[in-house]
Amino acid sequence: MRLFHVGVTVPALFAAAGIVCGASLGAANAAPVPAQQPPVRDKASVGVAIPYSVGRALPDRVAAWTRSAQIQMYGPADLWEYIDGAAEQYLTYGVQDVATAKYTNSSGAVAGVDVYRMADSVNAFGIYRQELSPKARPVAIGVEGRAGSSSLKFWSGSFYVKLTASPAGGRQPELEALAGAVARGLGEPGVMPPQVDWFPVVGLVPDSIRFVPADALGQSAFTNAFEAKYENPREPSTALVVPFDSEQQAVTAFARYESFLAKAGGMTKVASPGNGGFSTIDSFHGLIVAVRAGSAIAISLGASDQRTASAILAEIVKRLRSSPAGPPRKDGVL
Amino acid sequence: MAGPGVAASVQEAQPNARVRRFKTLGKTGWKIGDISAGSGQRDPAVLNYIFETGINLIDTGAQYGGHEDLVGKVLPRWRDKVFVLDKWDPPLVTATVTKSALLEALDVSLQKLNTTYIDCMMIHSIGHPRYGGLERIQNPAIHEAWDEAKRLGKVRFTGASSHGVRMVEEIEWGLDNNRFDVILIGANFLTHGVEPLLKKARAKGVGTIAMKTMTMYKSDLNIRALQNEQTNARQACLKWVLASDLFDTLVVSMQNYDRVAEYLAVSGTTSLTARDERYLDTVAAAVGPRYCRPGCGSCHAACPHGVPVADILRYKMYFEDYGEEKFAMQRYGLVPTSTRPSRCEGCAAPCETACPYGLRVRERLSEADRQLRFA
Repeated sequence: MRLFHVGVTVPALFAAAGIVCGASLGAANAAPVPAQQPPVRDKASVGVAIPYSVGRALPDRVAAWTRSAQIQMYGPADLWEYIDGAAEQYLTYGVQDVATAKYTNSSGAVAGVDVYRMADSVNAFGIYRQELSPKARPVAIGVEGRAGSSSLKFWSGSFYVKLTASPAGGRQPELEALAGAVARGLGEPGVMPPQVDWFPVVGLVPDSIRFVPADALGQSAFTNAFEAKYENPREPSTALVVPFDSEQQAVTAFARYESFLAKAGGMTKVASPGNGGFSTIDSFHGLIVAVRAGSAIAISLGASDQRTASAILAEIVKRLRSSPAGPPRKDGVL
Repeated sequence: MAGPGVAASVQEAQPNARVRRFKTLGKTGWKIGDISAGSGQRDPAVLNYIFETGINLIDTGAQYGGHEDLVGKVLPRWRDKVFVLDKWDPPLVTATVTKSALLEALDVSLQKLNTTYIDCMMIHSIGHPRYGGLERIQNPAIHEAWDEAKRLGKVRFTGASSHGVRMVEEIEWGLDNNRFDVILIGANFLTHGVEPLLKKARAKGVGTIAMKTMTMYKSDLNIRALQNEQTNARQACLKWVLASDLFDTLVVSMQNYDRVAEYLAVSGTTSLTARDERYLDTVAAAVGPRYCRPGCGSCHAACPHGVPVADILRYKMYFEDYGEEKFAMQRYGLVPTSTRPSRCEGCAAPCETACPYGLRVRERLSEADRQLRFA
């Protein structure tokens, strides 16, 4: 854990250390680093600029709130000290660090603020959607935000932010004011990942698109996947897209997945969409239809019938062809 | 397009991936597979497959980002065959938490898990200074909530999990006061100070489960000397626990089918081979000299000059092992000059005497000072 003592001139420390530093703690307390001063590097300095100002994101005072304790920071190696076993999921989503602080207001309410810096905006989107509570109310903070009775979560740029108020206090408007200030301190929020456009909107369950960074469907080769839920007579079906760097990688991974499911028997080849694939019925997911489309794999799980599954996959394949976020096409057209 | 055929389960097609040994989980009387599942799954079908292999204990918790919900999708198929180990969210369980708050949280967990009862409800992360000390687990509300939940049939057994610095002290309190039926502790081939605790637990009929079995930080054992032999090294780490008679089972994160097969390949192990020992030696050589063991913290109060020994050694580890040089230096920059290791030269080094693992603490502190202050 790293402690930022209120009043410590963190930028000065980093400047003395030869580190390019954009972090300041407590904007009111921190000594500014002269803009014209060139960074001094030595062999010990790995001098990558800290990409945001901790002080701006977690200011001393915001509306009715005053920061009541030092900002604490944790990195990937000791995140478990802060959130114990939950760290595993954050590591999967490429957490870089978390800055956390407590605020109090005049009515005695306490709010904790955690600012998780993820690997990029896709991972921030991913962890936000992973922890999304469907019952929470949408709020216009960051790219997407939701507020529960005593909590508020949003993502903005490559940051995922969680605010939690003590049960005794923290009226929603006050919590939203604090969240808004944190969001402004993080800079421009950015936009939704372009990969969400891979999924057709007809029948799409709202807010159901997820980023699955690793082990999609339990397959170690399925990384950086996106999935979405579609309305279905009994329970929603799932559509999954796994992009690969090359068509050859997709071919190999697809063959391995097919082989994995084929051990249980009952496979049927399908000729389209894309490069075709297979269908089968799994004892857990129900109907599975999987196709390869160039350097991507698209899979439908649990659709009510093959026609429905194929229709969704055909639309996904079409969208992959035209999406700027589509997988690379090193080996020809999709 | 032809309709698909009906497939059997994946497990029926891969019968070799199976639990091969079962032990009794202390006074619970449950026959538990020697390998149990941690909370790494993201797809319910993987968890279903895990249960098909004979693994019959799932370790979950309110804190594990939606894992209770995932278990709830699979559990109804397996409810009477699987032992569910659940935990309250650590920040909820304080020295002042009320019985009603705990019971309310329990009901939320039951709803997510899609069940009417939890086999073992644990206090999570005891012995961790962040969440409080003994006063936390001595809060009568916790014990009243447990008793009430048992009376209502919502909880069958109780226990605690820990890999914190005061793990031994706080687990021991629970054992002495007969509050725990099962304990889940950080333990692996590098931790050799917890045997008395485990023996005490077993003498009292308390079930014992190991976690963090591949050492705390390097779960992938990405050690240069192992090159492409990480699988063998991971298996050797598990085999060490399996060969010990101090644990009823171990929990390990199983995020994909490959890992399930890899881990189940060593189920039934009762002894280590010379080859396993060599892998463990390799891991120990790479990790051991730097690895502060779960539940230790012996050096915490040892320094007469107030040097935060364990913290600085951890910063050094970030610098050396994780490529997080900047992060490590930033942290070290916030250690007050008066408590940096500048006085270590000429000190009698009570920190080294205090370290039960023989870490050359003074030398490493001096190295850390040179590395981290850019000299």
